[in-house]
Amino acid sequence: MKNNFIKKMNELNKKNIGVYVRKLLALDKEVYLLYIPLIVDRKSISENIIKPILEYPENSRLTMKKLAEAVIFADEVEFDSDEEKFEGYLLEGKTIILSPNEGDYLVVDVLKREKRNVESPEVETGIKSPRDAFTESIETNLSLIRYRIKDPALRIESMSIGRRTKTKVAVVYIKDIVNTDYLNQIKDQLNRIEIDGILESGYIEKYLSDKKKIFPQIGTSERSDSVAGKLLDGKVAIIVDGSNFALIAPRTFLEFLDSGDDHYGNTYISVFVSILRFIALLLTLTLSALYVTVVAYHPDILPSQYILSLANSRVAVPVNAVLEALLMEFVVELLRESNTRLPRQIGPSIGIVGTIVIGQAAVSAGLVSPLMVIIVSLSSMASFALPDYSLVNITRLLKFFMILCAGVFGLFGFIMGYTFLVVVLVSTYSVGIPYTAPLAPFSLKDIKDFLLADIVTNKDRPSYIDAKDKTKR
Amino acid sequence: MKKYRLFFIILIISLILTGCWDYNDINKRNITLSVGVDNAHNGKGVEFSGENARLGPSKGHDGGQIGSASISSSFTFVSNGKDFEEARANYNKNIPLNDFSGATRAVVFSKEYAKNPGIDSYINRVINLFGYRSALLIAVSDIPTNELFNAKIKNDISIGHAVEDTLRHLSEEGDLVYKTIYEANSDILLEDVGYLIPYIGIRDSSISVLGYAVMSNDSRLIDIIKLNEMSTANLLLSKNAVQRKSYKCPAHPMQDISVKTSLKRRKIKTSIVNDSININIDLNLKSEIQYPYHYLSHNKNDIEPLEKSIEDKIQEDVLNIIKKSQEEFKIDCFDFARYFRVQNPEVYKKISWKEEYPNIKFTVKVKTKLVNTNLLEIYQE
Repeated sequence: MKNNFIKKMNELNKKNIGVYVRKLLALDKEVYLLYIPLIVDRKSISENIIKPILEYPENSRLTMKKLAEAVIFADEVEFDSDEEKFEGYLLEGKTIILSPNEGDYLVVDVLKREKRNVESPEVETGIKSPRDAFTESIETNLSLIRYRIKDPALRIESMSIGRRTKTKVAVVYIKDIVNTDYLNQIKDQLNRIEIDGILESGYIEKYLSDKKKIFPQIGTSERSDSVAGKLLDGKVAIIVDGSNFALIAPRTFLEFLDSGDDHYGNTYISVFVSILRFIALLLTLTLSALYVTVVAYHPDILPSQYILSLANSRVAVPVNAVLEALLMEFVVELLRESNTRLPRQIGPSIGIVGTIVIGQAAVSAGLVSPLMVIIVSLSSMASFALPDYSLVNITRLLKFFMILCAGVFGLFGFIMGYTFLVVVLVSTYSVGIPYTAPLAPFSLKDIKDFLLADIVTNKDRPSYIDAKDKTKR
Repeated sequence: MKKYRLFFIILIISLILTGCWDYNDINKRNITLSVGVDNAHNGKGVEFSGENARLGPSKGHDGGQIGSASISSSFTFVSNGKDFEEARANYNKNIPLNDFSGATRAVVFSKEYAKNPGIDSYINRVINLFGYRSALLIAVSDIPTNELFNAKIKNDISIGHAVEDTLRHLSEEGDLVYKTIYEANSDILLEDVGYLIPYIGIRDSSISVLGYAVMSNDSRLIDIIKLNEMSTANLLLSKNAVQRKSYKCPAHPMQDISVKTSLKRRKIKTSIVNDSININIDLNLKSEIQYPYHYLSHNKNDIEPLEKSIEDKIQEDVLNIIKKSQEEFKIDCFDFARYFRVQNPEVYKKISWKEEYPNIKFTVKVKTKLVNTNLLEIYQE
């Protein structure tokens, strides 16, 4: 015997990882096929490997080289001689073809992938935007990006992360645009990840973010057009096998307010909606807190007619303003959370129950004031206007923080809370890029380009990204 | 943890220093809508009348549903005391909740109180106490404030609302100049001038403006400028003074023409000639013909005499009211001192404006141009 393949094969067989061994005879030559039937395409093995080997008609000797070059029908074939790698290959869904008399064995890719079709986006919906969202298959996702950017400089660097899951992770960038500093930083951070399993891109996102900072520092996107747009801006996309969300880094705060389809529509409208979303963010964060401030501490800031209306609308409410606001916001969050978990068929009806029954009934029961109901609904409606879900989530939490600040210290606390958030914002970095760019550090040109979102007037890539190729033309 | 220490220290310090914990929500406070100040009936001390918002559903009103946002009525408390503090303490005994004065819209003084002891001490009180709005209006009423606040009016929900609404709308139309309590205070601080505040009363169950109360520099009521002289006084004080009057057409004695005259520009120039102070007032007015009383044919040459008669009439009125202020009131209630102080700061320091005022020589120039003449039927020659 020339090798230890058979010994290793028998060891594997005993390990109960589901390896199947198929022995074949071709012109008296023993050939063994090893694979894990659960994850390989068995039809393809029978048709493209077993059948041609058994039907091998020639009288000349069958070598592994000849097998690979002239016999089996497979697009991806590798040679290897290290029997210790058997297990790894098999778990990746590959088939091993070996012969006891030869030093090399063949690794053939026949992985069977369970995947769904490309569907329209669920989270990042837009009106005038392409409908091809990412799926859980990394190949599909990469092909969607490749299909949009047919540039030879588009680089896809694959790696596998996770000791046990061995998840495929691809770092995608355009070589002559991307800033190598943060590309290397991202790759370093990815290489340093020590974990047994990566099941979703969220795992990677956590490893790339600074834990102490509350705002999301890595963008997520399920739309291939938006990822392609970011790549053209000089950013890096990270695609994780098994996740339908691509990660985009670096990502600044203002970009979380960019819905992607701003770039496709009318420029005037895009300016309008950009400002609208910014106001929506402020409303979500501050409306309830402002209500608490005004009702409890500073009614004087309102015109006197409004003071009377405000007082009169609350006259039957037994709880104080802080408790009222916390209570109503809590109810809304409860409704939102239950709506996410509910099966789609009954979701809308619960929405109606929530809004009409709880809102209307709470007012007529005198538990909350009508104004509070308006404020709570307005602030949660405003949160739906924000395009990025990770920013929405953190705003929901910060809303409570603002209510508490306002409830304890009034307008003073409100400003204090706001200042605290601004301090956190400006001290956050996303992969080394100031989070508040282009507001701080200030760049009028970038702000203009962001607001206009017009591909014709916007000739340069954002300056804060410091791309290798600074212009788009 | 070290990082957050500073944050916690700031939190705790502010918690101790602000002392906001005893604040109540706005609906748990007694909202004062307006305040009346009068002499006590027994002749000793002062009497406060406070008009307060009645929150919640009203009896006998169909709009009184729980949680509805409009207030339906108000109630009044009256209290007496030998000074403000005692009257206030007595007042506080009546009201059911902590007082909230941030929604107070007007302070009304009775005529008697404004005459003696004068309104400056109450103005001082409001200016220095925390919590009143800076746009608080002041007015003088022709009846005791107790009666005023207990009167039923038909066109507004409360006296305070009615006073403010009436004064504001008249001021927007250019028919009135009102003073906020802070503006009155700045006049008092100038020491040499008096000031005008609206003089109101109740006519036909609604708040009605009766003229201007002329206040001396020590804030006592000197006299009243009657309703018919108000528009002339406005020409000297208001930014957008408007007069609506009918003028006889000089060419057609039968014809009356309604003219709306509004102030375009007012220029007041002060000078010193031979040791006496001269003040030139230039009034540039825009006169719009609103309508003629009768359909008569006019010659285009009729316009100029009409303009002239408007100018003459206004010039005469303005001179009269200034003369009145010099001879009867003996106080500069039209703010001429401010112009003089800016234009002749050195001289102003040396003289006593109060004493010089009655001797000042005024010249008034009125210039107006009639527009909308096409409303008259003008035949061409």
